[in-house]
Amino acid sequence: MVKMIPIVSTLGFLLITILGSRFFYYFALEKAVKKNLEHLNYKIEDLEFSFEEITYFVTIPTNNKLIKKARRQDLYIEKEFLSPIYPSIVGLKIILKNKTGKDKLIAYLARDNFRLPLLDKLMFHGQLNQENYTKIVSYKLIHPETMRQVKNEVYSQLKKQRYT
Amino acid sequence: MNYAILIFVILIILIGNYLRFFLKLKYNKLLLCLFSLLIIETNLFYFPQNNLGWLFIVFILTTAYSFFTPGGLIAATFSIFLIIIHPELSFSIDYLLTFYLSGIILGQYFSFQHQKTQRNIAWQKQLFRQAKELNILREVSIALQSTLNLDNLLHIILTAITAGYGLGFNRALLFLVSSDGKELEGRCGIGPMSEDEGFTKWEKVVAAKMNLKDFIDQKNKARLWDYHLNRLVQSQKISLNDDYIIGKLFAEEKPMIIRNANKYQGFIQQLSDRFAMTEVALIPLISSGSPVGLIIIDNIVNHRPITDEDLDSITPLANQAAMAITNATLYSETQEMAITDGLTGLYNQRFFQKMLEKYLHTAREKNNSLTLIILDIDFFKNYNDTNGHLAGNKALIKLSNIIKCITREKDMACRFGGEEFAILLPNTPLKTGKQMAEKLRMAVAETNFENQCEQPNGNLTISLGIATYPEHQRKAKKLIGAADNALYKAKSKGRNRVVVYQRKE
Repeated sequence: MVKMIPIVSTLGFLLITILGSRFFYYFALEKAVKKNLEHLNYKIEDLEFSFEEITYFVTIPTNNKLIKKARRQDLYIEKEFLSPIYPSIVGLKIILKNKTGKDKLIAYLARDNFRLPLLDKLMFHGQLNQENYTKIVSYKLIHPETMRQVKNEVYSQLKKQRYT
Repeated sequence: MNYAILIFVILIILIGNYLRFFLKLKYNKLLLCLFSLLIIETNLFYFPQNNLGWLFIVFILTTAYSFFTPGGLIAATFSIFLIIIHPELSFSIDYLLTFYLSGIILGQYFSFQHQKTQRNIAWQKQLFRQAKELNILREVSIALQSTLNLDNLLHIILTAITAGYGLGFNRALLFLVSSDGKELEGRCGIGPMSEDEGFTKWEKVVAAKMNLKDFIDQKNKARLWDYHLNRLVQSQKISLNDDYIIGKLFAEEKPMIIRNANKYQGFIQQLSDRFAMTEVALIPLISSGSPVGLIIIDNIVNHRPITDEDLDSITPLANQAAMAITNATLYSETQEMAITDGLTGLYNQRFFQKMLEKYLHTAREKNNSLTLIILDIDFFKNYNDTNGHLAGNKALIKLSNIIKCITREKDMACRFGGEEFAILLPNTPLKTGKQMAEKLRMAVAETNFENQCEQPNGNLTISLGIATYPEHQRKAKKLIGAADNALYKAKSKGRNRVVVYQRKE
């Protein structure tokens, strides 16, 4: 058993690094962002965003029965990261569950297009640098409240007439 | 003790993984590689075994993943060095070959995967951009088809260009070709006059979670927001023939990007001076080979450079816009022709009949007066027979011009018949109506018409009959009848006079 400890610990290193990186990334991101925002006298709730940069991959309104009959709980969000060990959020995939076949990618919200007017203003006035801007945007994007709103928005778009 | 060491190692892993994300990426990678080495060294220290040299593969793997082939090779070299200096490990040629081969193969593999990922992300970006543009075109097409009102169309076009849901440019101005085809007239614009104004508006819009449909529906609010911009745009005129850039734009029928606008002369310099534009895109609107207008775009807020790809995005929208504007203009002209008299430019009888009912309805609702004047040229047959129909037409045009001059903007004048005209005066009591009628009569009597001395009265005159709702009549037909009756009285009393309808007791 003692002989196994080096192997166990090394494997443990690999497993924790690969499986735990995203958790540590989010944790460190949250701490760094909250500290940054505190310094700027803002809270995460103050960062308003719109849904304008959500790209849809389905025609709306649609004749597709799968989409027409979709319920809110059939939609789920998958975060897309750049790397398992050095995770950096790339965007959010909004996917529709399909019990009879492959799940369908409905929409995508890319981090690079996720603009927060307040941050742009702060950057313009030199109160925020690019690195911190990216961190705050990343955190806001994967914040549970943001994802909940994005899911609701996509669902309501699937159900509404796009333009009358 | 052994398990304590295991727990200690796991703690190092957890702390290491926690701390590295507070650093920049390159230091994050370095720290992870060092921690992987630390774990191996800790194991070698507390559990010295001859076969533990192979644990260095993990260090090489981590470094190759982080720094690709160079990292893999450096890690391999360092691992060999550590094996040599560790007394419990014995160096063999297997280590040398395996470590270096691993370093190279893993490094190359991870580098290839990284490049593939970067390529996929770039392609994904392109794909998303195209998908978004397609969605915008689809939505805007539906919106453009829903209206033939030119103002609404222009608003839809500019919204599609500037809204975040649209193409996302900061500002767009729209010019249309004048009716004589000689110049471009500023029509409207959407966008801020400065960066700060832009950020403030953007924050409001984002907080309201407005989508493209909301933007399009809020036309009046948009006009209010961009009041200064619109005022400035509407004061601009560009000659189609005198400006070199504009001439080139419409000759080549291709959009262009102008960088450093302040270094240009002419119209571009005006844009730079009046709108603080530094980099602009000019997009000609052309329909069936004819210039229709011009869209001018810039990014005054975020100063994002305008690219050729941006022009590719705007061009299909511009083509649709040109067609929609042409259709709307044609529709407006056709509508105009359907309700106006071709000779005099006044409304025609069909339109008069339609509007009389509306005006009466309004007068009833608002409880005010509607006065109707019907006038007729005295001895017009004689004038026509003496001077010819061409002269007769000229006289009719001259008379209609006098009517247009004297009547107010709210009044509605129309050609009722050959030489008969009707004027509706909304919210006008009888006394005021009579004053206007008298003014008209005198203006015509004092105007010199061609060869008017041959008229029985010595000059061209008019007779006028007036009736008012509600004093005289309350229904449309009866009101016309009353005014006509008054006109007949004016004729029978000697012409060249105004007569007010009198009810028969």
